[in-house]
Amino acid sequence: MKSNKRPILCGVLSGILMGSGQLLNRQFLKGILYLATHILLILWVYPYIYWGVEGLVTLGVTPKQDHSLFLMVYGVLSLIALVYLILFQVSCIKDAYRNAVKRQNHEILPNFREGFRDSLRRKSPLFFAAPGIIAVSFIVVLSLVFSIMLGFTNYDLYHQPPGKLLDWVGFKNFVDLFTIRSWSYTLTSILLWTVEFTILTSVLPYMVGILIAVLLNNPRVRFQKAIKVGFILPWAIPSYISIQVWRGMFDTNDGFINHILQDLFHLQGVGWFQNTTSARAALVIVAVWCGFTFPMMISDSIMKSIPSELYEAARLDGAAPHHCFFKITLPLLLFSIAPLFIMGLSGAFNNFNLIYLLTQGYPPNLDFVGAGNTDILISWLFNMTFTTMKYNYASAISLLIFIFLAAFSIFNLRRTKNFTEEDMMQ
Amino acid sequence: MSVAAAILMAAGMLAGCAKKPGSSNSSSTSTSGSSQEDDPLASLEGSLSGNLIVWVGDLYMEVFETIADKFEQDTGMTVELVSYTGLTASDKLALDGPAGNGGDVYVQGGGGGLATAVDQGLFMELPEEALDLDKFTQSTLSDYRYQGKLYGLPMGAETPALIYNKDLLPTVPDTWEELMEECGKYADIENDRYGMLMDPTNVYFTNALIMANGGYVFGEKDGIYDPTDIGLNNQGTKDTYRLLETYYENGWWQRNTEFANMEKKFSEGKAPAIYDGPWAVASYQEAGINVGVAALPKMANGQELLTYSGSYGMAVSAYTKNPRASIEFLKYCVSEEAVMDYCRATDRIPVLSACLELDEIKNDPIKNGFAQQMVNSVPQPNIPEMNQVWTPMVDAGILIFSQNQDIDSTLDQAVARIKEQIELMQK
Repeated sequence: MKSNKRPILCGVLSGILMGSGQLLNRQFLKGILYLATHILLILWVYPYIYWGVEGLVTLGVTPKQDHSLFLMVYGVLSLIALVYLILFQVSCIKDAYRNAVKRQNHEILPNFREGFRDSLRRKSPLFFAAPGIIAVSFIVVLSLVFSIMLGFTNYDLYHQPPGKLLDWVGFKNFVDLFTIRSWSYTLTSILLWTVEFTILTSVLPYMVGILIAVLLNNPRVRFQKAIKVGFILPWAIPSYISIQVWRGMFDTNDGFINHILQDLFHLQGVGWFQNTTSARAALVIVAVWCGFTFPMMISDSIMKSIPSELYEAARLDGAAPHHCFFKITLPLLLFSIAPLFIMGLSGAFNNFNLIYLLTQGYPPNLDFVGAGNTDILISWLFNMTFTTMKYNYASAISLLIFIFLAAFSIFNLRRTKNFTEEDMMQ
Repeated sequence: MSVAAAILMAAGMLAGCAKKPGSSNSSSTSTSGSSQEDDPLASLEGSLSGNLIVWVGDLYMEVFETIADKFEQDTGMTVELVSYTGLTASDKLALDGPAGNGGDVYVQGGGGGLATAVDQGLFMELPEEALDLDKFTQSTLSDYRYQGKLYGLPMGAETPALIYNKDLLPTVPDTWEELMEECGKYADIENDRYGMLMDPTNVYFTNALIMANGGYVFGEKDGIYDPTDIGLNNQGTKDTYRLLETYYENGWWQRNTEFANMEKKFSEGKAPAIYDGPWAVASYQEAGINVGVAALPKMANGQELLTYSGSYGMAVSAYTKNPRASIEFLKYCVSEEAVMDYCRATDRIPVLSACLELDEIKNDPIKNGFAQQMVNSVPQPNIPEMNQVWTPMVDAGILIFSQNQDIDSTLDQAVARIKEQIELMQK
């Protein structure tokens, strides 16, 4: 075993000044190119990065001249660029180290042109993906990191750039959310209702959809296609419009539903949006209306694809129809639907449209900060940003929602059979 | 790897072409923008020469083209009109100003929006002595004052007023009580007919009655509002809510009705009058209602009903390098002809007392009605704390009128909520 002192020396040299390790390896052209690049970086690029990071740390010094939000964006851009530059330098160090090892083993190093071709061939997937990766990191990562960072500042009505500078406040916003009594009371109450809302508005549409699909697949039902077209209609109408129509139908005085209750059944009309339970019931009803079609279509086609031999065999063994349903149809349906259902959960959790267009959070609750009894987290977030102008709290809450949803979805997806098992049929 | 080296080299050269950062005394500017001059607020810098950039909405471009032409002729300057879409002008300025790319004069509404922009440091204080301020109606001018200082000039204004169906209510009675009584005779909820309609949950409308009864939103002294002094649960406000509650009990109004539904009822001819803004008039006329507009009559005890006004006009960027020409341009915007042009295009009410006397306004029954109300109007409190008032008060209104909650305790609770939210906001 030879000592690896020299390769390490080459690596360290390249770490200090890119290209110097390569020069030591007697790869002159490559070394000079690396060296020139590094000098250019030090002269022209690193000052920008230093300035960007400095701005990110201080968030500006002179109000009206320095725009803290801009400085944050530049800072994040600098950090992303810095990550790329570090990766670049690491690759240069690796290159110097590897070639030094090769030289020790008396291998012939490829000349510049060969090395270039070789790396082009070996790294071609990387080169093709590079534009995409770079674009994603500067567009997606930038906005993501930026919006998360807002949660750690004092960005609110009284601290609006460029007139005022922002400051970092650490975890204060998160602590506030949980410790200030009225905030934490609102947060916990709304979180609880949001979870109920999510479960109800995602489970019920699936149950209704599967039920209708099963009924439609019964050979005794006639005009299946016509009925199916009828059931697809709620899906064809944009939910924006159907929710508005529902809102009109739920109206206490002029609504269609109350008229039916009063005229046909001689019941008292319901003040749908006047009390919490009926307003929440209305939300769930409309969610089912808007949401059952998709599961219905999916389960319909899945049921059509279940081999009929399974049912014939079961029937020969004397299975009753409900046995067939619970032992064959339902397990196969759930197997395919489960991942869709779980992905739908996060959509239901953030179903802003429904709340905003149907109840607007009403009925009111004066114990809540900026929310009514039917507001869910995401609509509370909206109120907070646009009426209370607590941008920092809104960002903190959205970060919490993100963590919560991501953890929940990953946990559940990993537990579904479809995700863990390669084979569909047992 | 060498390819990456080449790319980075090229990037380094490109970066080399740009300005070198971080050396000027203003600590830092954007990488692409030029640096700022010394503080332009120090004195009225600038001269009547060169170029002026004016940001206006694309809807009323012609109005400002006329003003700009006249300004160009008189001063020899060139005016560049920039129209914006998407963000409001002040949002644009917040982004452009510090980078040095913004305009000089911006179209900017008064009230809370202006106050927020001033807090952001976007607009400069105007020298009051240099401007002929007596010619404005006072409530519209107050809309451009914030903490006692003037930050812009209004051109047109809006205020809600009494909009009535001439077929159902031939003449407007002399007092508010008589008006309600008169319209109440028409009401018959079973048969889908209602009295004089208004939104009793929205402080924007109810403030007129609240103030006439001795209530107030924020305590005020010399145009400066005190956010710790909230009068929305004092005796006057509670009396107002009790008065409104009697209108429900008399069968003139229907509970659980949104204001949008009330507007629909009026446009269907099912109510003799509605207390609504000028923006709704066109749709009532289209629906075939014989619309009349008048100022709200005063209360029987002699108190005038003062509505909230909103004003629209111009402000000067705090980042302008030519404040002198900018303010000069502002003066052109508030000349009688310019204001009338603007109000013809926008259907707003002119802000100059002299314009209100013109035949064009006097002989237009709709505009004259709103102009009459304009005289009896007050600006909305423009402090940012006002944002925390609207929603709790709407909530209180719904709880009181639709869910039969006790008036006194609900208003106390709403004010406690407003105070708490203001505290949270300031944290």
